[in-house]
Amino acid sequence: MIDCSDFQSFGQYFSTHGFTDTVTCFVQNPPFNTANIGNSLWMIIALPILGAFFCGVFGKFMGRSNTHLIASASVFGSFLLSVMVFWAVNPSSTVAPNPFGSTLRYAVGADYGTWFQAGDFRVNFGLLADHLSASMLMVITGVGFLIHLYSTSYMSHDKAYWRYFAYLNLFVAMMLTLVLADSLVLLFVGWEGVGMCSYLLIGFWYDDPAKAFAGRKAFITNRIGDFGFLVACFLLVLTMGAFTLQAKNNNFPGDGTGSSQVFKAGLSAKGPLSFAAIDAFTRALPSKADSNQVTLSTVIDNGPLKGFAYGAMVTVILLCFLLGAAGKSAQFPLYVWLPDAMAGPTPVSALIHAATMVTAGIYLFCRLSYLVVLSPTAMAVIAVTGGITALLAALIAFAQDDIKKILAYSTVSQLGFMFMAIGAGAFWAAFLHVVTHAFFKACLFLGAGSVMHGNAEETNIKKLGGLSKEMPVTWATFLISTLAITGMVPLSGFFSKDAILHALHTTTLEGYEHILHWVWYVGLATAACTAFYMMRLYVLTFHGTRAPDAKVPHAHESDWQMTLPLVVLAMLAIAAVAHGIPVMENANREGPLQTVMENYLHPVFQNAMRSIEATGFVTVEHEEGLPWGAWGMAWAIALAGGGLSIVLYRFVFKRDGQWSGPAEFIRSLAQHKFYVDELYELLVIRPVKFVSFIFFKIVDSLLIDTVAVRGTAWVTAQTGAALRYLQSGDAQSYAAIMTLGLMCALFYALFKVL
Amino acid sequence: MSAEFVLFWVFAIATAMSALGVIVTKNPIASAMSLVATFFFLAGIYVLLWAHTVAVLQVMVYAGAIMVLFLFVIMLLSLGEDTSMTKFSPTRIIGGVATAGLLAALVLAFRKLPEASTGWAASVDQLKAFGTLSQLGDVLYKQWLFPFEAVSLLLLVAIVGAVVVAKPRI
Amino acid sequence: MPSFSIQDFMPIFPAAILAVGAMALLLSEAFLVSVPHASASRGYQAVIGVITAAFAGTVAFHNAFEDPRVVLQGFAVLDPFSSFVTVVVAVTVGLAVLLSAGFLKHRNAERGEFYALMLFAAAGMSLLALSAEFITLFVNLEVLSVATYALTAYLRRGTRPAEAGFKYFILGAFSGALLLYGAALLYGATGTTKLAGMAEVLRAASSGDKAWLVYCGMVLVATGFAFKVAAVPFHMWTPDVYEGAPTPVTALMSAGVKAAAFVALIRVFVALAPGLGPQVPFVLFGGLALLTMVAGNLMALPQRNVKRMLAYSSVAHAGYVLLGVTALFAPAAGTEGHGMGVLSASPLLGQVPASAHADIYKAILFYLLGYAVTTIGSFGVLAALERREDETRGTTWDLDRFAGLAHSKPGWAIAMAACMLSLGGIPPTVGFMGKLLVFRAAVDAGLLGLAIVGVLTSAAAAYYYLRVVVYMFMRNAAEGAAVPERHWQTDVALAVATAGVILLGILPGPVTAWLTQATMLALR
Repeated sequence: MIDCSDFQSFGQYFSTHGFTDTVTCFVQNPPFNTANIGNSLWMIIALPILGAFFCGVFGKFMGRSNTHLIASASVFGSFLLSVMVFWAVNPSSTVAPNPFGSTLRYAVGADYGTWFQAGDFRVNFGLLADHLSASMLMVITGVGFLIHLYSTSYMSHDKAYWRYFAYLNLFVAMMLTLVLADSLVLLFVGWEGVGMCSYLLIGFWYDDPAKAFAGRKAFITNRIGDFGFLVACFLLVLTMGAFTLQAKNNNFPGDGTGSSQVFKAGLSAKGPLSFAAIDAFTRALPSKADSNQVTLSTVIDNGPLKGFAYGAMVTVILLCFLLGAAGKSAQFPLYVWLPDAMAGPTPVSALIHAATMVTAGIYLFCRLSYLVVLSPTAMAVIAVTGGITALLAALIAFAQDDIKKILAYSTVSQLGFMFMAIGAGAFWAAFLHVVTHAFFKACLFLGAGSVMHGNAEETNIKKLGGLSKEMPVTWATFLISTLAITGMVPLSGFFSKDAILHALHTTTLEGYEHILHWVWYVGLATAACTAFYMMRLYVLTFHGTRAPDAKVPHAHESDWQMTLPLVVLAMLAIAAVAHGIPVMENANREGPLQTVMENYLHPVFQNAMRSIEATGFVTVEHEEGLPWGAWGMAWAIALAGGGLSIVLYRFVFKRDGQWSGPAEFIRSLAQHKFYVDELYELLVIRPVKFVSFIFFKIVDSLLIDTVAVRGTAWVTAQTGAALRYLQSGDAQSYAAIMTLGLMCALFYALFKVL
Repeated sequence: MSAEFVLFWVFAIATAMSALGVIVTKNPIASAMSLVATFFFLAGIYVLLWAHTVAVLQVMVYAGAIMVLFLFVIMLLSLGEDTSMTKFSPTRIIGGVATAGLLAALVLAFRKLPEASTGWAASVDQLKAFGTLSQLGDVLYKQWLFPFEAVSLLLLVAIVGAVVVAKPRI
Repeated sequence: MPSFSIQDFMPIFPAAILAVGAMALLLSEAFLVSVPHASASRGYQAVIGVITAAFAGTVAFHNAFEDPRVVLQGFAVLDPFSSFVTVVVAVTVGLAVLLSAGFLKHRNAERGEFYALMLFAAAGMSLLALSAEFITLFVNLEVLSVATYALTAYLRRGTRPAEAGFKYFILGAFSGALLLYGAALLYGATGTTKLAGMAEVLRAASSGDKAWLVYCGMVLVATGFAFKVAAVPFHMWTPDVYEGAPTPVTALMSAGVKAAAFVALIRVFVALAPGLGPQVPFVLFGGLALLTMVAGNLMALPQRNVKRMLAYSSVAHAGYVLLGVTALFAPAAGTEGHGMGVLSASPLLGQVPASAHADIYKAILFYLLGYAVTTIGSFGVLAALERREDETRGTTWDLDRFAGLAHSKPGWAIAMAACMLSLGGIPPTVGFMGKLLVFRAAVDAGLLGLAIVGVLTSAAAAYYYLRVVVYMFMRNAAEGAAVPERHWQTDVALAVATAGVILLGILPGPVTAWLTQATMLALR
């Protein structure tokens, strides 16, 4: 450990200690009081909400530049506050209150009192920022600001600019709510809020029916996921309610941090859906020291879930959460909305459908890491879902010609990688990929937007080409990001992707010994595919000669509002590499060196790691030294895939070259997205439509419409009319009716006494 | 059977009959005069209860001042006989039936009362002091201060309300 | 020798402030006569009214944190219920005064007397809520009634207001007489008019020889209150009077009068019930709640006249509050008349709530607050939309007047939409939270059947509330429809009411937490 006690100023310390120590001490000594930062967390959310309000209500009258200023400034303000929070959570002296026992280190938080209460079920309104939330804050507000800046130029010709910026600001606010929430209920508010903003922005140009339809598709698919989320929450409340009655004192750690009284008091103070409650619950479950304890295999003995084991309930809850996360994070089989979501403006695709919202599912599982590790079954399902999604989306991306569609499928594929990491219990690796992916994918999307902007909204890569000279900045940044996503060595994507593959390779789940190994192979294949289709996209767009059927003969470079974010994001895509290199001491004082990200997120995931040790569900083989072999293999794979692609598309096929024979069959299969949409149509939509048609005829038209609705309406209207007849306006008859009522009451009362 | 008892029944029956007269007679003047009679008989009952002051006030304020006002209004408006009272309508029948039922229920309730239901025997001295002005003042200003003040508020509101309603078109 | 300390007068300070403010407004008219353009210089009257209401509300708010106690020799009580209702009344009357300013100016009818009567009515409401003795209670009820009678007949254009005022007066006097008669019977049975004394006598001699008298009196008193809160079948006056009265007055009546009358009703019956055996109040209020919820909503359904619809809706909402009142008297589990043990909901976390009664009080009071804010907002928009020209044609409050409001006056349309959602009990509004609390309390008390009726009727009610929203947002305004003029006072009142509707719906926590704490304290 580094001793930072005599840290005064950067320069002074630097002269006596090394650079690394100085930086470490610098981030651990924020120049402001960290105690009250928690109480100001709400401002981070309030700023963009205010911005949304002003843009939405007054944007039309304020004019374009004022709207731009307010929208960007509010997000930038949030960014500055986020930096403060990010800084504040570094020293170990920063603590957040926790009613379930000892305070939370490396976190700030505030409880704003009862939000609502129904009987004993209580939900408090509270915000919490720990290392995980703080990193998300930086990504959301940082990338969010860059995209606002980009949008000021990109949307400069749109009449409804004020609507756009209001939605975008609202989205940022909702996403911040999602990551700052300290309970699942508030998280769900953000979860629904980002879904709503996404719907509004996908269908932003609602005049075009196809775009409006894409918005609806996203909305409905997400509803399926939300259903899973809600069911999971209900089950969680019931399970914890049962646990409250069943738990014994020896369930809780004996170091004074918990007892069943403390747990109950905490529950009544914060409510069962707060993360602190779930944390305490999961900490109490896996201890196995005493046979009298309630453990995962104990059967619930009260309430509506009587007869199920706790472990089984945890698995069911996690699978329901997986459904929710699959909807939001576009995982198989609910990924179909994301490619269609490209109907929205391109900056929206960059912010919502690449960098932030779609990672909400990964964030949710990271947040609930302590719950996830209690169920190897759920982990295996998550990993397999991620694997299927990653490979399927990568294969589909092979044959797409639309620049945004390719990036969309690539996003789905990368999200699949993150789910694989969650399934392997490598939450930090998943989150590292979230961060690096946010940078390079946002850069890619914005680059694509810049390309479209300079080429009269052309999105077909076969009708572009040769842009490297005409759009130098876009070209350079796009190249950097492409290399990052393919996994070239000095760039961040390599380390994050390799961290995931490495985790898959070294981890074993109890009861599912070989699953992660198979997923690892899938991951390697997907990595090769990724390199291939990304290089294809890059080569066809930027190299070769300009297509003869291009919309404009010469592209023009975009102005600084668009290129500046590209440059910043490309630099971040390089700089984020610092997170992925294993240079830090292991936080557990043993084991190999950790990456910066793993070390940084250790306080967030330490309870999950403790549970893993207690249950033994997950085993990780540690290797001594740096994983040179794995790195080499990953690099070779990326080089092979990318190189093959360059050779094929640069020298063999050129632009109009076509595949033939069986290759053509596969290409067409991939081009049609493996007919998944059609499969949905055939297997789900048609039968549902048919059944619903039958039901419509019998149940709806006949029973409900005719009998129930019209019948009820008729009876109601008749009764209402009859009652209205009594309402004659004659005061005497009113008095008569009152007397009649009084008489009835009186007779009843006297009858009772008789 | 004491004289008090006889007098009570005389006053009680007369009060009830004249009260009926108020709502039964069709001539407004006759109706108002019946009301005067009601007040007088009621004052008699107050006297029987040793509440002399209240009895005197009843006669002076209600039978005197207020009834004069009533009569003025009736004469100024020169109300004619209203003939609509004779019509029968379903609601009137409902009202009649309900009122009769109500009356029956109340009669039933009162018949169930035990004979000597009130157990507040008081000495003659107490009774003599009961209705006097000083006693009244004592009760009003010391014990019943709050409702007394509330009544003053009520009167103020009533005056303001009457003035507002009587104002020319607003 | 009785002696009063300043502590005794604390609860009546808000009412006294309101009365003093009212008198100042009365006097202001006298000084205005000498001013040349008297009509132009009346703007400050509404300001005086609002300041008075705010002052009274502040004092009442301060009182709310006092220890509950009996004051003025048992004639009044200082407790969270009375203080809370006084705060609600102060907010209501302040907003109603603001609404009146624009409304009256538009009709060239602004006078100090109007605001004075409003403040007097508020003083009556505040005093009614803290009365603990029957004569006091009756007198205070009359204070607020007389003031509202006069306010109802204030505008005398056409026959409608005068007729409404007279009808209200006659029927109000009738119901007042019933209440007084009931109180007399109770006095006859117990020998005292103080609630505490009555409760003592009744408990000592329960089901004794005077039971008949007590039950008759109780039913008569209940009838008198049922008239004031407009419970079916004693609601018949409501639509006519609400429609005929000036709209800001209607808002005051449906928000303030109801809240005060409910608190008085609860105070009387909670005191008397232990001596009676709970079945009779339970059946009485249960029946009233059932009839009121069903009939109120049914009659509102076919209304195209929005003001009449809101009047019936006010009736229906009285039913939901009565549902809460019924829960107070619900027989405990295991006793006769319970019979719903199997169906009663199992608590979410496995424990039976220890403080069921506190929950019910909390639900009722929160509902009253929520309804007051919402109804002020909805009648406020209605008042803002009224035009004198329409009065003769009888289309003043037709649903068509709302068509296209979202385009011509988006702010008003949003306020009205929020209020309609709240009345319909749709989140995220205060109406939803109120209904949730009341239904939850009813289910906890075992009133599953009544709660289901409540949920069904409020689902049916959503139809006629949302119809207004549909008209505002999805219909286009008729050609050449005049745009109503706006006054800043109206806009302020609507903004406050709408903010209340939404904020209390999203963050009811502070209020409910305080109510829980205060009722627990008062019940101890």
